[in-house]
Amino acid sequence: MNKYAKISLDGLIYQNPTFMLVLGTCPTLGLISSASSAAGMGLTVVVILTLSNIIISALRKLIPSQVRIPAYIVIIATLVTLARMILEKFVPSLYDSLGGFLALIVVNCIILGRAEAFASKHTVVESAVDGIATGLGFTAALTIMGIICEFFGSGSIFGLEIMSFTIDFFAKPAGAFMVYGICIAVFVYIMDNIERAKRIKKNKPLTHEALMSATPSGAEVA
Amino acid sequence: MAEEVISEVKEEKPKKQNFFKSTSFKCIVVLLAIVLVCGIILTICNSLFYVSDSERLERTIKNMYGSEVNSEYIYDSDIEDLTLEYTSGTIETTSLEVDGVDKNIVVFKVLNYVDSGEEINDYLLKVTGTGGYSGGTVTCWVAFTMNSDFTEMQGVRSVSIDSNVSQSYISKIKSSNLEYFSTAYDGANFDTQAGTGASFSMGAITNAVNLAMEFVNTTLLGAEDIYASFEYTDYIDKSSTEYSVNGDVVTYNIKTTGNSPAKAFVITITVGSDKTIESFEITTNGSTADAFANLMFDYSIMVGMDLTDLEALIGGTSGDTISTGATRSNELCVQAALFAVANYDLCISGGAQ
Repeated sequence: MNKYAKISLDGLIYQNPTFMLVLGTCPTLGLISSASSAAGMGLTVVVILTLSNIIISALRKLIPSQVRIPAYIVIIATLVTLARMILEKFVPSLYDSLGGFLALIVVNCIILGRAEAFASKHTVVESAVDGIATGLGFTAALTIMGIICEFFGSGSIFGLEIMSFTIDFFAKPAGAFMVYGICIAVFVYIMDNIERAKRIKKNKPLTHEALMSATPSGAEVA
Repeated sequence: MAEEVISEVKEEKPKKQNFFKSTSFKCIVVLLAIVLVCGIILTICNSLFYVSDSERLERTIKNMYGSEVNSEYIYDSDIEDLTLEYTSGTIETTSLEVDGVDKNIVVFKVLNYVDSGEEINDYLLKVTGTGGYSGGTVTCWVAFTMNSDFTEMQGVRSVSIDSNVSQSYISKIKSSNLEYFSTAYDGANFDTQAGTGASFSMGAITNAVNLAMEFVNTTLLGAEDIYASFEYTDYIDKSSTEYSVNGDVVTYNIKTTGNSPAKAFVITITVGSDKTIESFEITTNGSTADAFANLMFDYSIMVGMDLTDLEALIGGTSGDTISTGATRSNELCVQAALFAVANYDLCISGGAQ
Protein backbone atom coordinates (compact mmCIF):
# COMPACT_ATOMS: atom_id res chain seq x y z
CA MET A 1 0.00 0.00 0.00
CA ASN A 2 1.14 3.51 -0.81
CA LYS A 3 2.61 5.11 2.34
CA TYR A 4 0.37 8.18 2.04
CA ALA A 5 -2.71 5.99 1.74
CA LYS A 6 -1.58 4.08 4.82
CA ILE A 7 -1.06 7.32 6.78
CA SER A 8 -4.49 8.53 5.67
CA LEU A 9 -6.26 5.30 6.60
CA ASP A 10 -4.50 5.23 9.97
CA GLY A 11 -5.63 8.77 10.80
CA LEU A 12 -9.15 8.29 9.53
CA ILE A 13 -9.93 4.76 10.70
CA TYR A 14 -7.32 2.45 12.24
CA GLN A 15 -5.89 5.09 14.61
CA ASN A 16 -8.98 7.27 14.73
CA PRO A 17 -8.21 9.75 17.54
CA THR A 18 -11.73 9.76 18.96
CA PHE A 19 -12.94 6.18 18.64
CA MET A 20 -9.70 4.18 18.78
CA LEU A 21 -7.28 6.33 20.79
CA VAL A 22 -9.98 8.12 22.88
CA LEU A 23 -8.13 11.44 22.66
CA GLY A 24 -9.65 14.94 22.66
CA THR A 25 -12.45 13.82 24.97
CA CYS A 26 -13.06 17.25 26.54
CA PRO A 27 -14.29 19.06 23.37
CA THR A 28 -15.99 15.86 22.27
CA LEU A 29 -18.23 15.71 25.32
CA GLY A 30 -18.68 19.47 25.45
CA LEU A 31 -19.65 20.12 21.86
CA ILE A 32 -21.45 17.12 20.39
CA SER A 33 -24.88 18.31 21.49
CA SER A 34 -24.91 20.30 18.25
CA ALA A 35 -23.79 18.87 14.90
CA SER A 36 -22.70 22.24 13.52
CA SER A 37 -20.60 23.05 16.61
CA ALA A 38 -19.04 19.58 16.44
CA ALA A 39 -18.24 19.94 12.73
CA GLY A 40 -16.90 23.47 13.30
CA MET A 41 -14.62 22.28 16.08
CA GLY A 42 -13.45 19.36 13.92
CA LEU A 43 -12.59 21.59 10.96
CA THR A 44 -10.75 24.04 13.22
CA VAL A 45 -8.72 21.14 14.58
CA VAL A 46 -7.95 19.97 11.00
CA VAL A 47 -6.42 23.34 10.17
CA ILE A 48 -4.47 23.69 13.42
CA LEU A 49 -3.30 20.07 13.40
CA THR A 50 -2.13 20.24 9.80
CA LEU A 51 -0.27 23.51 10.28
CA SER A 52 1.31 22.43 13.56
CA ASN A 53 2.42 19.14 12.01
CA ILE A 54 3.95 20.97 9.05
CA ILE A 55 5.80 23.52 11.20
CA ILE A 56 7.01 20.99 13.74
CA SER A 57 8.16 18.61 11.03
CA ALA A 58 10.01 21.42 9.26
CA LEU A 59 11.73 22.44 12.50
CA ARG A 60 12.32 18.94 13.83
CA LYS A 61 16.06 19.01 13.20
CA LEU A 62 16.45 22.47 14.71
CA ILE A 63 14.58 21.91 17.96
CA PRO A 64 16.70 20.12 20.59
CA SER A 65 14.90 17.12 22.05
CA GLN A 66 15.27 18.51 25.58
CA VAL A 67 12.97 21.46 24.83
CA ARG A 68 10.74 19.91 22.21
CA ILE A 69 7.57 19.89 24.35
CA PRO A 70 7.68 23.59 25.33
CA ALA A 71 8.56 24.45 21.74
CA TYR A 72 5.57 22.45 20.44
CA ILE A 73 3.27 24.08 22.97
CA VAL A 74 4.36 27.58 21.94
CA ILE A 75 3.81 26.76 18.27
CA ILE A 76 0.41 25.16 18.90
CA ALA A 77 -0.69 28.01 21.20
CA THR A 78 0.25 30.53 18.52
CA LEU A 79 -1.77 28.67 15.91
CA VAL A 80 -4.78 28.38 18.22
CA THR A 81 -4.63 32.09 19.04
CA LEU A 82 -4.46 32.87 15.33
CA ALA A 83 -7.44 30.60 14.70
CA ARG A 84 -9.37 32.37 17.47
CA MET A 85 -8.61 35.78 15.98
CA ILE A 86 -9.63 34.72 12.49
CA LEU A 87 -12.83 33.00 13.63
CA GLU A 88 -13.84 35.94 15.82
CA LYS A 89 -13.28 38.31 12.92
CA PHE A 90 -14.79 36.36 10.05
CA VAL A 91 -17.00 33.60 11.54
CA PRO A 92 -18.32 35.08 14.79
CA SER A 93 -21.21 32.62 15.01
CA LEU A 94 -18.83 29.64 15.03
CA TYR A 95 -16.53 31.47 17.44
CA ASP A 96 -19.44 31.97 19.83
CA SER A 97 -20.68 28.40 19.51
CA LEU A 98 -17.26 26.92 20.29
CA GLY A 99 -16.91 29.05 23.42
CA GLY A 100 -14.07 28.13 25.76
CA PHE A 101 -13.35 24.89 23.94
CA LEU A 102 -11.61 26.82 21.17
CA ALA A 103 -8.87 28.00 23.53
CA LEU A 104 -8.63 24.50 24.98
CA ILE A 105 -7.35 23.17 21.62
CA VAL A 106 -3.92 24.28 22.89
CA VAL A 107 -3.89 21.37 25.29
CA ASN A 108 -5.70 18.95 22.98
CA CYS A 109 -3.99 15.58 23.26
CA ILE A 110 -4.50 14.85 19.57
CA ILE A 111 -2.43 17.81 18.41
CA LEU A 112 0.38 17.43 20.92
CA GLY A 113 0.25 13.65 20.46
CA ARG A 114 0.65 13.81 16.68
CA ALA A 115 3.41 16.41 17.03
CA GLU A 116 5.36 14.15 19.38
CA ALA A 117 4.56 10.79 17.83
CA PHE A 118 4.54 11.62 14.13
CA ALA A 119 5.55 15.12 13.00
CA SER A 120 8.82 15.10 14.91
CA LYS A 121 9.92 11.92 13.10
CA HIS A 122 8.56 12.30 9.57
CA THR A 123 8.88 14.54 6.54
CA VAL A 124 6.80 17.67 6.03
CA VAL A 125 4.56 16.10 3.37
CA GLU A 126 3.93 12.97 5.42
CA SER A 127 3.17 15.10 8.48
CA ALA A 128 0.78 17.26 6.50
CA VAL A 129 -1.08 14.17 5.24
CA ASP A 130 -1.18 12.80 8.78
CA GLY A 131 -2.53 16.10 10.11
CA ILE A 132 -5.29 16.25 7.52
CA ALA A 133 -6.24 12.58 7.94
CA THR A 134 -6.21 12.61 11.74
CA GLY A 135 -8.12 15.89 11.79
CA LEU A 136 -10.72 14.57 9.38
CA GLY A 137 -11.03 11.40 11.47
CA PHE A 138 -11.70 13.60 14.52
CA THR A 139 -14.15 15.75 12.52
CA ALA A 140 -16.03 12.74 11.21
CA ALA A 141 -16.33 11.21 14.67
CA LEU A 142 -17.51 14.47 16.24
CA THR A 143 -19.98 15.17 13.44
CA ILE A 144 -21.49 11.67 13.58
CA MET A 145 -21.98 11.92 17.34
CA GLY A 146 -23.17 15.52 16.99
CA ILE A 147 -25.85 14.43 14.52
CA ILE A 148 -27.03 11.66 16.87
CA CYS A 149 -27.10 13.93 19.96
CA GLU A 150 -28.74 16.84 18.15
CA PHE A 151 -31.33 14.56 16.54
CA PHE A 152 -32.43 13.02 19.83
CA GLY A 153 -31.71 16.02 22.06
CA SER A 154 -33.11 18.85 19.95
CA GLY A 155 -35.05 17.08 17.20
CA SER A 156 -32.93 18.72 14.52
CA ILE A 157 -29.87 18.09 12.39
CA PHE A 158 -27.50 21.00 11.68
CA GLY A 159 -30.21 23.29 13.00
CA LEU A 160 -32.90 22.02 10.63
CA GLU A 161 -35.87 20.84 12.63
CA ILE A 162 -36.79 17.23 11.91
CA MET A 163 -39.20 16.33 14.68
CA SER A 164 -40.82 17.94 17.69
CA PHE A 165 -40.17 14.97 20.02
CA THR A 166 -36.93 15.43 21.94
CA ILE A 167 -35.08 13.72 24.79
CA ASP A 168 -33.33 16.40 26.83
CA PHE A 169 -30.86 13.87 28.20
CA PHE A 170 -29.07 13.74 24.83
CA ALA A 171 -28.60 17.53 24.78
CA LYS A 172 -26.53 17.34 27.95
CA PRO A 173 -22.99 16.13 28.64
CA ALA A 174 -24.33 12.98 30.33
CA GLY A 175 -26.18 12.05 27.13
CA ALA A 176 -23.13 12.94 25.07
CA PHE A 177 -21.06 10.63 27.27
CA MET A 178 -23.45 7.75 26.66
CA VAL A 179 -23.54 8.34 22.91
CA TYR A 180 -19.74 8.53 22.92
CA GLY A 181 -19.50 5.19 24.71
CA ILE A 182 -21.97 3.49 22.38
CA CYS A 183 -20.20 4.88 19.31
CA ILE A 184 -16.83 3.60 20.58
CA ALA A 185 -18.34 0.17 21.20
CA VAL A 186 -19.91 0.00 17.72
CA PHE A 187 -16.75 1.27 16.02
CA VAL A 188 -14.49 -1.19 17.86
CA TYR A 189 -16.93 -4.04 17.13
CA ILE A 190 -16.89 -3.24 13.41
CA MET A 191 -13.10 -2.88 13.37
CA ASP A 192 -12.70 -6.18 15.24
CA ASN A 193 -14.88 -7.96 12.71
CA ILE A 194 -12.94 -6.49 9.82
CA GLU A 195 -9.64 -7.48 11.42
CA ARG A 196 -10.93 -11.00 12.12
CA ALA A 197 -12.11 -11.38 8.54
CA LYS A 198 -8.73 -10.22 7.31
CA ARG A 199 -6.91 -12.63 9.60
CA ILE A 200 -9.08 -15.55 8.51
CA LYS A 201 -8.53 -14.66 4.88
CA LYS A 202 -4.77 -14.45 5.42
CA ASN A 203 -4.48 -17.71 7.37
CA LYS A 204 -6.99 -19.97 5.64
CA PRO A 205 -7.65 -23.12 7.75
CA LEU A 206 -6.28 -26.44 6.37
CA THR A 207 -9.33 -28.14 4.85
CA HIS A 208 -9.28 -31.56 3.13
CA GLU A 209 -10.04 -30.04 -0.27
CA ALA A 210 -7.30 -27.49 0.06
CA LEU A 211 -4.86 -30.16 1.10
CA MET A 212 -5.83 -32.46 -1.79
CA SER A 213 -5.48 -29.71 -4.30
CA ALA A 214 -2.08 -28.81 -2.88
CA THR A 215 -0.63 -32.37 -2.92
CA PRO A 216 0.87 -33.98 -6.10
CA SER A 217 -1.63 -36.24 -7.91
CA GLY A 218 -1.58 -39.84 -6.74
CA ALA A 219 0.32 -39.14 -3.56
CA GLU A 220 -1.20 -40.56 -0.41
CA VAL A 221 -1.84 -38.39 2.53
CA ALA A 222 -1.02 -39.86 5.91
CA MET B 1 52.41 32.91 41.32
CA ALA B 2 51.74 34.99 38.25
CA GLU B 3 52.21 31.95 36.08
CA GLU B 4 49.55 30.07 38.09
CA VAL B 5 47.02 32.86 37.57
CA ILE B 6 47.73 32.94 33.86
CA SER B 7 47.28 29.19 33.63
CA GLU B 8 43.90 29.41 35.49
CA VAL B 9 42.66 32.07 33.07
CA LYS B 10 43.73 29.91 30.19
CA GLU B 11 41.77 26.99 31.68
CA GLU B 12 38.57 29.09 32.13
CA LYS B 13 38.51 30.42 28.58
CA PRO B 14 37.67 27.09 26.92
CA LYS B 15 34.82 26.61 29.45
CA LYS B 16 33.18 29.86 28.31
CA GLN B 17 33.62 28.88 24.69
CA ASN B 18 32.10 25.48 25.45
CA PHE B 19 28.93 27.06 26.88
CA PHE B 20 28.18 28.72 23.54
CA LYS B 21 28.52 25.37 21.88
CA SER B 22 26.57 23.48 24.51
CA THR B 23 23.07 22.02 24.20
CA SER B 24 21.81 24.36 26.93
CA PHE B 25 22.73 27.39 24.90
CA LYS B 26 21.16 25.89 21.79
CA CYS B 27 17.96 25.16 23.73
CA ILE B 28 17.75 28.74 25.00
CA VAL B 29 18.37 30.22 21.57
CA VAL B 30 15.86 27.96 19.82
CA LEU B 31 13.13 28.58 22.40
CA LEU B 32 13.72 32.32 22.40
CA ALA B 33 13.69 32.38 18.61
CA ILE B 34 10.41 30.46 18.46
CA VAL B 35 8.81 32.71 21.09
CA LEU B 36 10.07 35.82 19.30
CA VAL B 37 8.77 34.75 15.88
CA CYS B 38 5.42 33.67 17.36
CA GLY B 39 5.13 36.96 19.24
CA ILE B 40 5.80 38.99 16.11
CA ILE B 41 3.27 36.97 14.09
CA LEU B 42 0.61 37.36 16.79
CA THR B 43 1.26 41.09 17.11
CA ILE B 44 0.83 41.60 13.39
CA CYS B 45 -2.26 39.40 13.23
CA ASN B 46 -3.81 41.07 16.25
CA SER B 47 -3.69 44.41 14.51
CA LEU B 48 -5.11 42.83 11.34
CA PHE B 49 -7.92 40.83 12.92
CA TYR B 50 -8.78 42.89 15.99
CA VAL B 51 -12.54 43.20 16.45
CA SER B 52 -13.23 46.70 17.70
CA ASP B 53 -16.12 47.64 19.96
CA SER B 54 -17.72 49.57 17.12
CA GLU B 55 -17.56 46.46 14.92
CA ARG B 56 -19.16 44.40 17.68
CA LEU B 57 -21.90 46.99 17.98
CA GLU B 58 -22.51 46.94 14.24
CA ARG B 59 -22.75 43.15 14.33
CA THR B 60 -25.18 43.27 17.21
CA ILE B 61 -27.39 45.84 15.53
CA LYS B 62 -27.30 43.78 12.34
CA ASN B 63 -28.29 40.62 14.27
CA MET B 64 -31.03 42.29 16.26
CA TYR B 65 -32.55 44.62 13.70
CA GLY B 66 -31.09 44.08 10.25
CA SER B 67 -28.44 46.12 8.55
CA GLU B 68 -30.40 49.29 7.84
CA VAL B 69 -31.01 50.44 11.38
CA ASN B 70 -29.48 53.70 12.48
CA SER B 71 -28.43 54.13 16.05
CA GLU B 72 -27.63 57.32 17.83
CA TYR B 73 -26.16 57.94 21.20
CA ILE B 74 -28.06 59.31 24.09
CA TYR B 75 -25.38 61.48 25.50
CA ASP B 76 -26.56 62.50 28.90
CA SER B 77 -24.20 63.64 31.60
CA ASP B 78 -26.53 62.14 34.23
CA ILE B 79 -25.98 58.69 32.73
CA GLU B 80 -22.28 59.20 32.30
CA ASP B 81 -21.74 60.19 35.91
CA LEU B 82 -23.60 57.28 37.46
CA THR B 83 -21.86 54.54 39.36
CA LEU B 84 -23.57 51.52 37.94
CA GLU B 85 -22.41 48.59 39.97
CA TYR B 86 -24.82 46.05 41.43
CA THR B 87 -24.47 42.58 42.89
CA SER B 88 -26.44 41.16 39.99
CA GLY B 89 -24.15 42.87 37.47
CA THR B 90 -22.93 46.15 36.07
CA ILE B 91 -24.06 48.55 33.39
CA GLU B 92 -20.87 48.95 31.40
CA THR B 93 -19.40 52.38 31.18
CA THR B 94 -16.45 51.55 28.97
CA SER B 95 -15.68 53.81 26.11
CA LEU B 96 -17.12 52.89 22.73
CA GLU B 97 -16.31 54.48 19.43
CA VAL B 98 -18.88 54.48 16.67
CA ASP B 99 -18.70 56.61 13.55
CA GLY B 100 -15.58 58.25 14.89
CA VAL B 101 -17.32 59.49 18.03
CA ASP B 102 -15.87 58.32 21.33
CA LYS B 103 -18.31 58.56 24.22
CA ASN B 104 -18.39 56.97 27.60
CA ILE B 105 -21.87 55.48 27.45
CA VAL B 106 -23.47 52.32 26.26
CA VAL B 107 -27.11 53.27 26.04
CA PHE B 108 -28.36 53.74 22.54
CA LYS B 109 -31.56 55.03 21.12
CA VAL B 110 -32.36 52.96 18.07
CA LEU B 111 -34.55 54.53 15.43
CA ASN B 112 -35.58 53.09 12.11
CA TYR B 113 -38.41 52.62 9.72
CA VAL B 114 -38.25 49.07 8.43
CA ASP B 115 -39.76 47.80 5.17
CA SER B 116 -42.92 46.60 6.88
CA GLY B 117 -43.64 50.15 7.96
CA GLU B 118 -43.09 49.37 11.63
CA GLU B 119 -41.47 52.18 13.52
CA ILE B 120 -38.70 51.07 15.83
CA ASN B 121 -38.07 53.08 18.97
CA ASP B 122 -35.72 51.16 21.22
CA TYR B 123 -33.27 51.57 23.99
CA LEU B 124 -30.34 49.27 23.41
CA LEU B 125 -28.17 48.57 26.45
CA LYS B 126 -24.97 46.68 26.94
CA VAL B 127 -25.11 45.04 30.34
CA THR B 128 -22.88 42.64 32.20
CA GLY B 129 -24.65 40.13 34.42
CA THR B 130 -22.86 38.43 37.29
CA GLY B 131 -23.63 35.09 38.92
CA GLY B 132 -22.32 32.92 36.10
CA TYR B 133 -20.41 29.67 36.48
CA SER B 134 -17.33 29.92 38.67
CA GLY B 135 -18.03 33.56 39.48
CA GLY B 136 -17.94 34.49 35.80
CA THR B 137 -20.03 37.02 33.91
CA VAL B 138 -22.02 37.30 30.69
CA THR B 139 -22.26 40.56 28.78
CA CYS B 140 -25.45 41.00 26.77
CA TRP B 141 -27.12 43.49 24.52
CA VAL B 142 -30.70 44.05 25.56
CA ALA B 143 -33.15 45.93 23.32
CA PHE B 144 -36.25 47.44 24.92
CA THR B 145 -39.19 48.52 22.80
CA MET B 146 -40.38 51.97 23.84
CA ASN B 147 -43.31 54.13 22.89
CA SER B 148 -42.80 56.82 20.26
CA ASP B 149 -41.67 59.53 22.69
CA PHE B 150 -39.52 57.22 24.78
CA THR B 151 -41.50 57.68 27.99
CA GLU B 152 -42.79 54.15 28.49
CA MET B 153 -41.20 50.73 28.25
CA GLN B 154 -43.35 48.27 26.30
CA GLY B 155 -41.23 45.17 26.57
CA VAL B 156 -38.03 43.42 25.64
CA ARG B 157 -37.50 43.12 21.90
CA SER B 158 -34.50 40.81 21.99
CA VAL B 159 -31.40 39.79 23.88
CA SER B 160 -28.06 39.01 22.30
CA ILE B 161 -24.95 37.65 23.99
CA ASP B 162 -21.89 39.80 23.43
CA SER B 163 -19.14 38.11 25.41
CA ASN B 164 -18.51 36.11 28.55
CA VAL B 165 -15.93 35.32 31.17
CA SER B 166 -15.32 31.68 32.14
CA GLN B 167 -18.60 30.34 30.72
CA SER B 168 -17.53 27.14 28.93
CA TYR B 169 -21.09 26.02 28.24
CA ILE B 170 -22.40 29.36 26.95
CA SER B 171 -22.80 27.77 23.51
CA LYS B 172 -25.57 25.59 24.95
CA ILE B 173 -27.75 28.66 25.27
CA LYS B 174 -29.69 28.76 22.04
CA SER B 175 -31.62 31.61 20.49
CA SER B 176 -34.80 29.87 21.65
CA ASN B 177 -33.63 30.29 25.26
CA LEU B 178 -33.07 33.99 24.68
CA GLU B 179 -36.50 34.36 23.05
CA TYR B 180 -37.91 33.72 26.53
CA PHE B 181 -37.12 37.35 27.35
CA SER B 182 -38.92 38.78 24.30
CA THR B 183 -42.21 39.59 25.98
CA ALA B 184 -44.37 42.57 26.80
CA TYR B 185 -43.40 44.36 29.98
CA ASP B 186 -45.67 43.49 32.91
CA GLY B 187 -43.67 45.12 35.69
CA ALA B 188 -42.13 41.88 36.95
CA ASN B 189 -38.55 40.69 36.71
CA PHE B 190 -37.63 37.58 34.77
CA ASP B 191 -36.99 34.36 36.65
CA THR B 192 -34.04 32.19 35.75
CA GLN B 193 -34.63 29.26 33.38
CA ALA B 194 -33.68 25.70 34.19
CA GLY B 195 -32.79 22.97 31.73
CA THR B 196 -30.67 24.94 29.28
CA GLY B 197 -27.56 22.87 29.99
CA ALA B 198 -25.83 26.08 31.13
CA SER B 199 -27.89 27.09 34.17
CA PHE B 200 -25.27 29.36 35.71
CA SER B 201 -24.65 31.24 32.46
CA MET B 202 -28.40 31.56 31.97
CA GLY B 203 -28.64 32.98 35.50
CA ALA B 204 -26.06 35.63 34.61
CA ILE B 205 -28.02 36.53 31.46
CA THR B 206 -31.24 36.81 33.49
CA ASN B 207 -29.46 39.06 35.97
CA ALA B 208 -28.24 41.22 33.10
CA VAL B 209 -31.72 41.58 31.59
CA ASN B 210 -33.33 42.36 34.96
CA LEU B 211 -30.63 44.90 35.71
CA ALA B 212 -31.08 46.55 32.32
CA MET B 213 -34.84 46.67 32.90
CA GLU B 214 -34.38 48.33 36.27
CA PHE B 215 -31.94 50.80 34.75
CA VAL B 216 -34.37 51.81 32.01
CA ASN B 217 -37.22 52.18 34.50
CA THR B 218 -35.42 54.13 37.16
CA THR B 219 -32.61 55.98 35.42
CA LEU B 220 -33.97 56.60 31.93
CA LEU B 221 -37.70 56.83 32.68
CA GLY B 222 -37.35 58.29 36.17
CA ALA B 223 -39.56 55.77 38.00
CA GLU B 224 -39.31 55.98 41.77
CA ASP B 225 -37.43 53.20 43.50
CA ILE B 226 -39.27 52.82 46.80
CA TYR B 227 -36.62 50.46 48.07
CA ALA B 228 -33.71 52.75 47.19
CA SER B 229 -32.72 53.27 50.83
CA PHE B 230 -33.32 49.63 51.85
CA GLU B 231 -30.48 47.27 52.68
CA TYR B 232 -29.91 43.72 51.45
CA THR B 233 -31.81 44.26 48.19
CA ASP B 234 -29.35 42.38 45.98
CA TYR B 235 -31.40 39.18 45.94
CA ILE B 236 -34.81 40.85 46.19
CA ASP B 237 -37.12 41.27 43.21
CA LYS B 238 -38.19 44.79 44.11
CA SER B 239 -40.88 44.84 41.44
CA SER B 240 -42.83 42.04 43.18
CA THR B 241 -42.04 42.57 46.86
CA GLU B 242 -44.53 44.14 49.28
CA TYR B 243 -44.85 44.73 52.98
CA SER B 244 -47.51 45.84 55.40
CA VAL B 245 -47.25 47.35 58.87
CA ASN B 246 -49.65 46.34 61.64
CA GLY B 247 -48.82 48.13 64.88
CA ASP B 248 -45.20 47.28 65.56
CA VAL B 249 -45.26 44.13 63.42
CA VAL B 250 -44.11 44.17 59.80
CA THR B 251 -45.25 41.45 57.41
CA TYR B 252 -43.30 41.06 54.19
CA ASN B 253 -44.34 39.21 51.07
CA ILE B 254 -40.94 38.89 49.45
CA LYS B 255 -40.14 37.60 45.99
CA THR B 256 -36.45 36.88 45.62
CA THR B 257 -34.47 36.97 42.42
CA GLY B 258 -33.31 33.70 40.95
CA ASN B 259 -29.96 32.41 42.17
CA SER B 260 -29.20 30.04 39.36
CA PRO B 261 -29.87 27.14 39.28
CA ALA B 262 -32.38 27.98 42.04
CA LYS B 263 -35.38 29.87 40.76
CA ALA B 264 -37.10 32.74 42.58
CA PHE B 265 -38.68 32.06 45.97
CA VAL B 266 -41.80 33.75 47.35
CA ILE B 267 -41.58 34.00 51.13
CA THR B 268 -43.83 35.53 53.78
CA ILE B 269 -41.86 36.83 56.75
CA THR B 270 -43.12 38.54 59.88
CA VAL B 271 -40.78 40.67 61.98
CA GLY B 272 -41.71 41.69 65.52
CA SER B 273 -40.87 44.74 67.61
CA ASP B 274 -37.67 43.13 68.94
CA LYS B 275 -36.44 43.00 65.32
CA THR B 276 -36.39 39.24 65.24
CA ILE B 277 -38.21 36.92 62.87
CA GLU B 278 -41.59 35.80 64.23
CA SER B 279 -42.59 33.62 61.30
CA PHE B 280 -41.00 32.43 58.09
CA GLU B 281 -43.08 30.67 55.45
CA ILE B 282 -42.11 29.72 51.93
CA THR B 283 -45.12 30.02 49.61
CA THR B 284 -43.26 29.30 46.37
CA ASN B 285 -40.19 27.10 46.52
CA GLY B 286 -37.71 27.95 43.78
CA SER B 287 -35.60 24.84 44.13
CA THR B 288 -35.34 23.37 40.67
CA ALA B 289 -36.29 19.85 41.69
CA ASP B 290 -37.79 18.00 44.62
CA ALA B 291 -34.42 16.47 45.34
CA PHE B 292 -32.94 19.92 45.96
CA ALA B 293 -35.95 21.14 47.94
CA ASN B 294 -35.45 18.16 50.23
CA LEU B 295 -31.81 19.07 50.67
CA MET B 296 -32.60 22.57 51.94
CA PHE B 297 -31.68 23.47 55.51
CA ASP B 298 -34.34 23.70 58.20
CA TYR B 299 -35.29 27.33 57.59
CA SER B 300 -37.50 27.37 60.71
CA ILE B 301 -34.26 27.85 62.70
CA MET B 302 -34.36 31.48 61.53
CA VAL B 303 -37.45 32.13 63.65
CA GLY B 304 -36.26 34.18 66.64
CA MET B 305 -33.05 35.25 64.91
CA ASP B 306 -31.98 38.88 64.72
CA LEU B 307 -29.76 40.63 62.18
CA THR B 308 -26.50 39.49 63.78
CA ASP B 309 -27.59 35.84 63.85
CA LEU B 310 -28.66 35.99 60.20
CA GLU B 311 -25.45 37.69 59.10
CA ALA B 312 -23.54 34.90 60.84
CA LEU B 313 -25.53 32.37 58.81
CA ILE B 314 -24.72 33.92 55.46
CA GLY B 315 -21.18 34.80 56.46
CA GLY B 316 -20.44 31.23 57.37
CA THR B 317 -19.44 32.00 60.97
CA SER B 318 -22.17 29.67 62.22
CA GLY B 319 -20.56 26.71 60.57
CA ASP B 320 -21.84 25.27 57.29
CA THR B 321 -25.53 25.61 58.14
CA ILE B 322 -26.55 26.64 54.64
CA SER B 323 -24.10 24.42 52.74
CA THR B 324 -26.45 21.49 52.52
CA GLY B 325 -26.44 20.59 48.84
CA ALA B 326 -29.09 23.21 48.07
CA THR B 327 -26.89 26.12 49.09
CA ARG B 328 -28.20 28.55 46.50
CA SER B 329 -31.80 28.03 47.61
CA ASN B 330 -30.76 28.40 51.26
CA GLU B 331 -28.89 31.57 50.40
CA LEU B 332 -32.06 33.10 48.94
CA CYS B 333 -34.01 32.28 52.11
CA VAL B 334 -31.39 33.87 54.36
CA GLN B 335 -31.11 36.92 52.10
CA ALA B 336 -34.90 37.38 52.27
CA ALA B 337 -34.75 37.14 56.06
CA LEU B 338 -31.89 39.65 56.17
CA PHE B 339 -33.89 42.06 54.00
CA ALA B 340 -36.88 41.74 56.31
CA VAL B 341 -34.99 42.27 59.56
CA ALA B 342 -32.53 44.94 58.38
CA ASN B 343 -35.28 47.21 57.04
CA TYR B 344 -37.74 46.89 59.92
CA ASP B 345 -37.17 50.48 61.12
CA LEU B 346 -37.63 51.91 57.62
CA CYS B 347 -40.94 50.09 57.24
CA ILE B 348 -42.20 51.21 60.65
CA SER B 349 -41.27 54.83 59.96
CA GLY B 350 -43.03 54.57 56.61
CA GLY B 351 -39.96 55.81 54.83
CA ALA B 352 -40.49 53.63 51.84
CA GLN B 353 -44.18 53.91 51.28
